[in-house]
Amino acid sequence: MLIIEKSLRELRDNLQSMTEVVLDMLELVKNSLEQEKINELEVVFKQDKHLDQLEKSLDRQCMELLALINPHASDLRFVFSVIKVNVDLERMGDECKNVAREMKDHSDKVPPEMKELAKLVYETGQNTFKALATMDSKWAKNLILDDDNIDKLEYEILQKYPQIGISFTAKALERIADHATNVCESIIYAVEGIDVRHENTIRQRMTK
Amino acid sequence: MEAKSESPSTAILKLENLNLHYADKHVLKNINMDIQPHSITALIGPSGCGKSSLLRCLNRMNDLIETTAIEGKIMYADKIDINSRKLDVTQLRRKIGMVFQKPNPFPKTIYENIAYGVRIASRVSKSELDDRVEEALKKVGLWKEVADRLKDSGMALSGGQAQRLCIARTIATKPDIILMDEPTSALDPISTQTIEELTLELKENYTVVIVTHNMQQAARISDNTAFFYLGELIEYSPTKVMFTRPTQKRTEDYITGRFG
Repeated sequence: MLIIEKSLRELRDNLQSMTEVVLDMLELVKNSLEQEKINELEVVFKQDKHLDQLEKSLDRQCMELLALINPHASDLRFVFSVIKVNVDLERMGDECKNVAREMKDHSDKVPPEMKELAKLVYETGQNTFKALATMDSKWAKNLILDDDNIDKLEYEILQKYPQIGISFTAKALERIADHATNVCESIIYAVEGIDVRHENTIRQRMTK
Repeated sequence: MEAKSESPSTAILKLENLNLHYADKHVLKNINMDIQPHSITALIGPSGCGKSSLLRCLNRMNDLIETTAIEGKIMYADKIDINSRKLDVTQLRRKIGMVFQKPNPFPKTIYENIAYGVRIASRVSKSELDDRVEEALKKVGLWKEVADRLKDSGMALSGGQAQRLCIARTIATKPDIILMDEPTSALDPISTQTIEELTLELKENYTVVIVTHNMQQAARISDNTAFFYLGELIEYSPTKVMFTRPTQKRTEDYITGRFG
């Protein structure tokens, strides 16, 4: 195997480990909200610490790859995207932690819309990570469009429930989905070399 | 497959349907390419792809090979057809100079290495000649290193210095275009860096076309890059584009090292 292919494979493997941790955290948050239970939330805090270490190690790996292997073209775009995705994944973990902390601190009743939102966010994360593992830019484009449903639901919750704890949780969940959108944009850039950031561009591209 | 650059009207060299044969070998196949003035154009591709042959077409160096057959046009500054049999080739090579892979100073003094070309190209007084030698050596950053030993042999210089002397020799005859055939492949990293910096400075006053096997070098210094494969121009685009999002699969494979 070529040196660069070996290095990129290691990078892909470590990226995958990170997405697995984030998906675990998302699932714990979703289940806890759904069942209105807090007993499993300690795991979220633990996972977040683990994620921080993985973030640092992935960054270091990208840096070394750039310095030593000098990737070009699609390889370079991939490494560049991993650097950005890395930040998004770590932030997704942070937001999971925020939801968990909020649930522990306040014992507001969880509205059904919130359970629905958590489910949608979990699914978005799951699909985004699958698209990332397969570098499927078409799927990534569709996922970006799906983000609208999450924004709508979040808005509904904010309108209907004035409690600070609830709006805090809804916002955190919505931000997780925003990071998933960023990941999708990075996938599209890595695969196609096109920068689709900012909503209008992607919408225009999708209708073409 | 044809690849063309974007603004043909300003080109200093315009290659039109260029074909080159060495005996029965078709070395360059229907090349269409514009080279922009005051820019560095890198020619890349695997060994045998035709990039050095193309460079040699630009100042008729292929004339030295007997079995060469060339078709198509190479227009220089819009009005001179480089392939014209009536062209004064010596004059052409003053305008389009060449720097080779291995530094090849004349077995003469440092001073004479530069003065020689100037003297046979034009009648100049001794003081004018001194000025031209000094000017050329200053442009390549060699003046300070050799000012007190101009009478030493050019062959006694280090590799990097000798290559700069060769570049000085080329620019002393006031060319428009400098062709470089892997000018740093025989040099150490420090000398390579010096030559690269110098090449970047040269584009202020000259047009540079460089053949290089060192992809990082093409990426670092060139404005446009042309990728050749099996005698064809596969892709020709701004270097920034070529190294971040090439359009052709073969280019992508070559620059990411997945070739073959």
